[in-house]
Amino acid sequence: MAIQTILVINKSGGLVYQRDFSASAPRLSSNEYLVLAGTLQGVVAIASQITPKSLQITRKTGSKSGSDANHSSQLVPYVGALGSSAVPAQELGSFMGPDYFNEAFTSWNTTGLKHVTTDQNSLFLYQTLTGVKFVAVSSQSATSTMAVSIAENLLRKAYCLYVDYVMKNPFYEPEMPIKCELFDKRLGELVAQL
Amino acid sequence: MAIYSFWIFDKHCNCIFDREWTLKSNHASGTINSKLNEDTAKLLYGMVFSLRSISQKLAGQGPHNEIRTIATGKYRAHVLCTASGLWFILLSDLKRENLSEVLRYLYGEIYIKTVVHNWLSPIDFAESEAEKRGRGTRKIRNRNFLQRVEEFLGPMIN
Amino acid sequence: MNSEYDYLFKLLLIGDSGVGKSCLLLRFSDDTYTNDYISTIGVDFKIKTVELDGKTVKLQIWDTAGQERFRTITSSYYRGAHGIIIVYDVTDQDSFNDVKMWLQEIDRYATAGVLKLMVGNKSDLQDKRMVEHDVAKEFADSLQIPFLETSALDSSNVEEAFLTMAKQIKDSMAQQHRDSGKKDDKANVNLKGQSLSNSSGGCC
Repeated sequence: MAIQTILVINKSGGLVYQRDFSASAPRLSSNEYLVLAGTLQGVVAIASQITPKSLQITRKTGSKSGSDANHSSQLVPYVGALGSSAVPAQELGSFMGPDYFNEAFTSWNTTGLKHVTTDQNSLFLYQTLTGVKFVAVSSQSATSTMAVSIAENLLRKAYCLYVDYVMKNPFYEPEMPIKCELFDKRLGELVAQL
Repeated sequence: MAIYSFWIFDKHCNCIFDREWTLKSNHASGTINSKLNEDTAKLLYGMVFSLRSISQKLAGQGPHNEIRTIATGKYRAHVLCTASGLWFILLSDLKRENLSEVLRYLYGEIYIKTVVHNWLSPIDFAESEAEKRGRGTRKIRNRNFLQRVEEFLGPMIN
Repeated sequence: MNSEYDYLFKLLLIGDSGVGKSCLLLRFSDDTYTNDYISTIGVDFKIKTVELDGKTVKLQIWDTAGQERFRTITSSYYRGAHGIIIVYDVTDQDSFNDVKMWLQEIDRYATAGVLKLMVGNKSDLQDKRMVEHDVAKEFADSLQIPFLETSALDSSNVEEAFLTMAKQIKDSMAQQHRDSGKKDDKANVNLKGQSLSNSSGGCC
C-alpha cells in the first residue's frame, strides 16, 4: 500500500495539514485541496444521513442483542507490523512508547464516511471523538478489511503524533494550519515504516 | 450478508428507479419507486457526485478514475457508472466487499434487455427542460424489469 | 507542503434561496469558476487569499443552499465558523422576515460570539424595493449587527466588509491569546487559596 497523501481536516472542515509522500501524488493547488476538505466534510454528514432504513429499524427493535454485535463490528483490530519502530521509546517523548497502542481499538466513526475506493485510489478517513479527521489517499484500490484496518491503525498513530507534537506545542494555534517540524518528521518516519 | 437498496440515476441527475428493502427476513418488504425516498435519492446522488469529482481531481490528467465503493461504519455503497451516463448504486452491509459483477449484470442483462431493448420504453426519461435539469420524477415502471430485479436481488437481501 | 498559508478562516453565507448569495462574491474569490456542489451537497466553496499584517490568510467562504431539504446538513456547516453573513433580498419581504429564523439557526448551531454581518442584496432594483433601508438598519442596530446594502452591479462594499471581518477575526484571535495568558495568572492566584468571587463578578 503506497500512501500518496495525508490530510488533516479540523472539526469545522478546514484543511490544516496536507503532505505528499510519493512522486505519484496528485498535484492539486492549495485551493483545490481546501475545497476537497470542505467537500469531504459535507459527504461525511450526508453519508450518515442516508443510512438504510432497514439498519435504522433493526437498531431500534433489536437494541439489546444488537448492541453487542454492533459494538464488536466497530472494533478495529490492531495491526502490529505497522509499528515496528526503529526509534527507541524515549526519543518519541510519549508515555505510551513507540507504538502508542498495541491492542484493538473502538472506531468513533460509526455512521460517517470511512473508506472510498476508485479505479486507481483508496481514500481512508479516521475521525476522532473531537471531530478531527485524518485522511489518507493510497495509490491502490483496496477493498479488503485488512487494508482498511492497516490504514485505520496508521491514521490513529498519526492522531497520536498530532496530539503529542501539535496539540502540546505551545505555539500552535488551535484549528489553524499545522506548521510543526517535529510532527512533519515523525509522520514521515511513520509512513516510511509501511 | 445483506443488500439494503438499489438505485438508478440517469444522466440528468434524476433518480429513475429506487428499491429499498426494509426487512431482512422478507424480500417482498420495503418500497419501490417511493416518493418518500426522493430526498434520500438526492442526498445519495450528491454524495456520489462530490466523491466522483474528488476522485477525478486525484487522477489529474490521467485516465478516468471512477468511484467503485463508498463505505461508512454501517453500510457500503457500490457504484457503477456506465458510458451512457447512468449510475447504478447498490447499498449493502460491510461484509460485501465487491458487488461490481452484480451491478454489471443488473445493467447488461436486466436493464439493457428489458428497458433499452423495449420499444415502448422511453430512451430518455426526462422530457421537458426542467426534467433535464434534475427535476424529473419519471420512474421505470416496466413490469419485466421490476420482476427480473426482484428475482435477481431477492435471494441476496439477507 | 502545507506552508502556503498561515491562517484559515471559515466564513459562512446564509439566507433564503434566490436572494443571490452566490453572485455577491463572484469577483471576490481567487478562482472565477464555480463548482456545482451547491445543488448536491448543499454547499459551495469560494476561496480568497489575502495578506494581513504580513501573514497569508485564506478565507474559505462556505456558500450554503437555502433549500429546506438541506436544512439538517447545512446546520453541520455552522460548526467552527469564524464569521457568518446573513443575506436577504431587498425586493422580497419574506426573505427579510426570515432573517430572524436564520439568526435563531446561528444561535443554535454556531459558536457563541461568532462575528455576524447582515447584507441586503439587489439594492439596484429601486422600483421593486420592498424592504426600506431604514427599517433594516434599525433592526440590525437593535441586534448590534453591522449592516449594508449591495447589488451584483457593484459589490465592492461587501468585499470591503469581508476584509474588515477577516481583520477582526485575526485581532480577536490575538486577543484570545492575551486573555488566556491572563487566565493563567488568575489560576496561580487561586492556587494560593484566594476566592473566585472577584473574577466571577467581573464576568457578569
